[in-house]
Amino acid sequence: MKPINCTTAQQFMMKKLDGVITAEEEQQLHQHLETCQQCAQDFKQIYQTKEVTQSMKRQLLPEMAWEDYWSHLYNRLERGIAWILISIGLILILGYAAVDFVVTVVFNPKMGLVERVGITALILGGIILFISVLREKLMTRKVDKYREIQR
Amino acid sequence: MIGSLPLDNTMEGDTPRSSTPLANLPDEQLVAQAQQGNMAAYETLVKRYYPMAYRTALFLLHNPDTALDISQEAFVRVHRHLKTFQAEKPFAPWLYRIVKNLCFNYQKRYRQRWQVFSDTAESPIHSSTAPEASPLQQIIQKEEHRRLWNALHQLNTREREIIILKDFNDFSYEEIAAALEIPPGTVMSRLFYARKKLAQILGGDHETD
Repeated sequence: MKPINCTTAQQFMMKKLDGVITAEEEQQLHQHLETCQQCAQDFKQIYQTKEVTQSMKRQLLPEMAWEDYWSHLYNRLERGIAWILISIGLILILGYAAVDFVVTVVFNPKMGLVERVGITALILGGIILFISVLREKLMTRKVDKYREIQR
Repeated sequence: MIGSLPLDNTMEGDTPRSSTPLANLPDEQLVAQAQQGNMAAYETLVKRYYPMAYRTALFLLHNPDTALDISQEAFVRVHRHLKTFQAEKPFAPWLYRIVKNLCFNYQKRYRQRWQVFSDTAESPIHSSTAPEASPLQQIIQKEEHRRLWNALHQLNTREREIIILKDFNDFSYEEIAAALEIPPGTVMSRLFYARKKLAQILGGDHETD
């Protein structure tokens, strides 16, 4: 059987540990490990480590039961749809309101100039204030390092 | 698309459980069915991969609650972009990259960095051990896991990542190559050096105890 070098032996070691080695490769690896002390030592160390990782892996599962996990995820998906619909609705309603406002207030010849400017300023001010507060809240939430700390 | 979610007939009580043939289907068939709006196929995919998504996020973020949240968000993204995913491509590497990107974004947002796991005394490993294990065995195992957890976080990101994929998520070499976007020939050698370094850290750790 053709002898292998250390680089190939390293690859065969990985295959052996991961259960994908062929019978021929296994024989070649075995032969190499009998003659190369360094590779034999590496293999022993790595093998022991793999046993610990396998034991730890079994315990790294979500504390949440599958049914709860799926239920939470499903709710998220539903809420995603809800937000999309709400956004579409809001865009349509606000767009319609803006056009209606321009037609009935801004370009209404029956209303006095002071009246029109007053109403427009009031509404614009309200919108700017709302956006400003909303942005501040969102930014605070985004950069708050202690957001997840429970009181 | 989210719009195709059948809202009225697929809540958990109604959906097929693992005993149905869906659980035996390979990923590509499940993905193809989920792309056509089959919510049960999507659920089966989630059930198959949620431990992987959770474990990956846990290793990257160190926090069980955040890991749970990120893993769920990853499946929301999967659902949203499922239509554009090519079903014949491997699903697991795609999901892995989504989880990883979400973790990166989360860390960026909170100005954290990939760092050595030195600021947390307890590893987030659940204390449940095999019921037949004696209290002493349980203590020993817990200590071994704590040591491994710390050793894993002494590896650099590249080394840790490949061990997470292979030893904790059972990716095949081809899937690892796809997830990390490296040539398949590189996978085994990178894995060898990562495992060797981990073994050395654990060995040194033993000696200092």
